[in-house]
Amino acid sequence: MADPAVIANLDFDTVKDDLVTHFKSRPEFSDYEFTGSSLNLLMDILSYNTHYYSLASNFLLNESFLDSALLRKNVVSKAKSLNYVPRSISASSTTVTVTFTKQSSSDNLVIIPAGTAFISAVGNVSLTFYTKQDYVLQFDSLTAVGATKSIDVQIFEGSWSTQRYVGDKNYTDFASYELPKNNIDTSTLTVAVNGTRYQKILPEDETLFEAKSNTRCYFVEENRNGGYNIIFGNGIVGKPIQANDEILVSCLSTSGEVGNGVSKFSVSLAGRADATVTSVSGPSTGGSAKETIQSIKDNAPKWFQAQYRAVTVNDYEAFLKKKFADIQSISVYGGEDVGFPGKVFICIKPKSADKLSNATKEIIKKEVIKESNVVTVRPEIVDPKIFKLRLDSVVVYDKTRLDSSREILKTKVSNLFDYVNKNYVGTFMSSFRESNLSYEIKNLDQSIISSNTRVKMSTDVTSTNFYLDTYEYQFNNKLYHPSDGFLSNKGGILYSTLFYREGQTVQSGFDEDGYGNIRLYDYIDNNKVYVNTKAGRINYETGQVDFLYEFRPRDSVFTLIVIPDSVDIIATQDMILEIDSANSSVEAVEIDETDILKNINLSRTF
Amino acid sequence: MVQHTFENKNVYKDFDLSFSRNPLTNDIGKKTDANAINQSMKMLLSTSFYERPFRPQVGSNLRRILFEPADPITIQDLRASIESLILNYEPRVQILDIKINDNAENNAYDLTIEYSLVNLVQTQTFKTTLRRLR
Repeated sequence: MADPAVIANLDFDTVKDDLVTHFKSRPEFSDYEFTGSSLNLLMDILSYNTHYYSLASNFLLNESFLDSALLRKNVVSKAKSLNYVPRSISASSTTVTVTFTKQSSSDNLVIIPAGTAFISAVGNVSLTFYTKQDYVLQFDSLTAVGATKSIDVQIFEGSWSTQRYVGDKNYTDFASYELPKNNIDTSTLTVAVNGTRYQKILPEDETLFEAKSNTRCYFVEENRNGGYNIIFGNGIVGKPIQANDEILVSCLSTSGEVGNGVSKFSVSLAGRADATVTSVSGPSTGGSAKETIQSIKDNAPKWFQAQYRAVTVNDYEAFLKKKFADIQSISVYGGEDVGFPGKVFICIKPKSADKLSNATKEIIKKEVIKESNVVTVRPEIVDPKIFKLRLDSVVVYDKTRLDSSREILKTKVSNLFDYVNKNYVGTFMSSFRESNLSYEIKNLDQSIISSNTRVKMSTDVTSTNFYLDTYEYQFNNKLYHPSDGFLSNKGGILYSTLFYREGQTVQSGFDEDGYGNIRLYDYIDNNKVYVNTKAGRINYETGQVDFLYEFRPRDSVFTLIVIPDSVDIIATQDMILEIDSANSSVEAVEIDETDILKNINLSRTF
Repeated sequence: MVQHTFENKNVYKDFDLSFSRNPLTNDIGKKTDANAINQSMKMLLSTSFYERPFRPQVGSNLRRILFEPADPITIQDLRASIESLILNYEPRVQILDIKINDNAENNAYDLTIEYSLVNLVQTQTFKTTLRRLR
């Protein structure tokens, strides 16, 4: 008797085929392969049975391990055994300055209560931001009527709600109450029992070990429905809930990342018509969806490994990703690598902006890192250096194999830049490799024979009140410099967009002389009139550009462009490369257009 | 002189779906040749579309037709469905004739299928009554 040869198949048809193969070796019955036969019916039943059990076993095993589980409730459950509570949705926040006018001589105190609404809108969606705490502004009794005074107020996007529960019995085990909404920012939870505030305990909190039988505390867990449960003590760890205890839970339900990027607000405070929002510290940031399944899978083991302490660079990354949601990419490196021992540098590219606001940096340093990092190590949060790549691609194609038109082909290549932005660059230390781009272009269409891409690097030079924010720009890549004086008459390998200087009616710009000097010029009647031929230095080997001359730009931003030596651009620890699609170009040349091909300089264009 | 011995060997073998016991061997009852085919055809006729998991195309819509008015059009529809069913799923059979009589007194159709087996010469007959249950 031959055994069923294959036992690894899952599909009904293949399982049945295996059975048929088996029965062919049996002499007793010969009708196994006819649809109406009894034996066929029996094999159908056997196949269904095998099929269902195989799938059930497969699902069961997959869902039993953190790496292979697909259902969120199972991933969360597995992460729980690693003491990891997935991050909830988080509310976007910002700080606004509210200004009041003294109405009368007795108008000395203004209170902005917790829950005060600040109205805004993104597109067609109306958003409301709220204060989390009371703010008090006091006018000096000697201040004249009509004088103004301002106060900074931190506001969070979402809507406050309070849920009331009543204890139904004297609990001796952990009483659990499910919160009604799934989009709750658990960091905003406040829980009070019979009017007494309870303290939240997270797995990483050492206070867990200090919790006694009468400690007023609660725990938060994500439940199997994706919502949250509030869990109270059992009389051994934490005070238990008694019959008729009144439990009030307040929390913020938020829209997450929808609330990011808002910078205009209005406030309406009862009895204070003079309240106006005079300034906003920056666009709202920090809003993020709840932690994804993949993120839980990635972070839970690291989090367990780090044991709630930030010691190695991986610990910092795991710690910050867990605690702070608005992170697109993060790079952490020790100060010993960059000449500052005793420091750890944290570079964060948020999802909602190019860099973190100063207020957010302080929150991260004081509230997130301080409680876990080594005492002698000082964390330093630095802004990511974002360099944009301007690509000039020439694609050679064969028109006999082209299904569409030349223009559609060019559009396809242009759209590919966005793909490369998301998949090859756009995060820390993700270098740009021209060969990767060529590979993607080649696979784009069967008609493409070859491609060639030239690269320029650019960065924005920003200034405040006529002074540059920084006078050093480190491109971290060798710049193109075949010989001294190279292209001196055309402006070398550095140029800038035009900008206005203080007191000038003509625009100015920069270029270089091929000997390492950056030249400042005024652009008059399409001619460069040099103002300072040693306005800065450029180091071709290291890619460092220094401005030495105070040229007082009136425009708050202009762009500096350089031509690197290689078409591959290296991104270092605090560098993020992004392809500047708007300033990149694509040219498609047909293989038979030999005249054009001969005249195109496929290596460099100046 | 050469002597030929002809063994009466069964071509088609199947087990009895009533799961009856053979009193001599204590094994499950077997059906052979025309009996096996008749059992098979009966099973096919009583199978509706989508009844078998993963094999929705096996079967016919006889149950639906039995609720139609008993007229020549319905009988023709019935005959076509049965013919198509056997042609598709009972390749051992070559249909010779399908007779359907309207048994109006019992609200049923008497079905007689005359056929021959592909490897055997005798003509076989399969008879059954098609009656709706409610």
